[in-house]
Amino acid sequence: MAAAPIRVLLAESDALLRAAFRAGLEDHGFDVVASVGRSDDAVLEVERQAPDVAVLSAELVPTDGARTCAGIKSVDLPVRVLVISEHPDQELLLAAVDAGADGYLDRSGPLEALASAIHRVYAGEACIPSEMLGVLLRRLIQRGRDEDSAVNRYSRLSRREKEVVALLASGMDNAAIAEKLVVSRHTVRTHVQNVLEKLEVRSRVEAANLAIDFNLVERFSGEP
Amino acid sequence: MNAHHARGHQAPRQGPGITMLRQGGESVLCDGDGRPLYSLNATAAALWELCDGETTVDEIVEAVCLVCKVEREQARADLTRTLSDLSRSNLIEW
Repeated sequence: MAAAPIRVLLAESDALLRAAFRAGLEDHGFDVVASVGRSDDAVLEVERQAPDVAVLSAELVPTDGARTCAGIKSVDLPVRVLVISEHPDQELLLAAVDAGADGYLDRSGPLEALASAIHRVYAGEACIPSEMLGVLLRRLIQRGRDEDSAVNRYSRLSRREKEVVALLASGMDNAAIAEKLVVSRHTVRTHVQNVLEKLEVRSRVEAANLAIDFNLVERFSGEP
Repeated sequence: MNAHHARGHQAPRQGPGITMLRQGGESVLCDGDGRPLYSLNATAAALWELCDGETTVDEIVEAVCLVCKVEREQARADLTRTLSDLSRSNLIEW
């Protein structure tokens, strides 16, 4: 008995390209269960069709392929995601990996490469361009170090200073923070100075971005 | 040191005078005179590039897990095997 064809959802904003990919994938024996031009439709169709593999263009609209991947991965279905890009670069690749993508491919290659990539991610293999693997690993390692450093610096803060950082990250100015914490503005200024020093940053914006980038407020929220 | 017993905090380093040459999708480690010594697949080539004396085994394992979507034990076993082979051939040092 022949194996059932791999069920594919295709999400590509360019209508001509979408039609060409669909025809090509069907010629290669895939069952294209849905073919959409928008990111929100992609997530809806994943829920509706439960494909085996979702092929997403990195340049999808209104939200890009990486963020759409994150949306699809949040659905409780075992869908593998392959992100394809016209202009592969490190940032896109990193975003796709962060979003949980199972593979990443330069779509300018032959259709056989796309078909092969779909088979590989369906089989549970990761599919990363070999020439980008080293750079990607290096970026992830550096990001891990940056995160460890941020966590170490944040852990130096007092409970009150952490409260101030949380309020900075929410966009409050000193007056609003003073009102929220029921302290004087002078006290808030002192806290902010201490925060900048302990976090080794030069501005409240940097402090807020550090907290947001590494999710520090939520990470430490349960601490006394 | 035997890489089979490599600890997570250890950081492998490329052997002195060893360079990697990439040709047509293949990677080869060469000695100081350019003589080919060892052929690497894409993954091993990427791992070789990380052997800078500062990047630890644990760091490499975590990154490989994230990218290659394998379990930590599998990533560590595969990495240890690769580093063992390179170490036996004096292509990396600890």
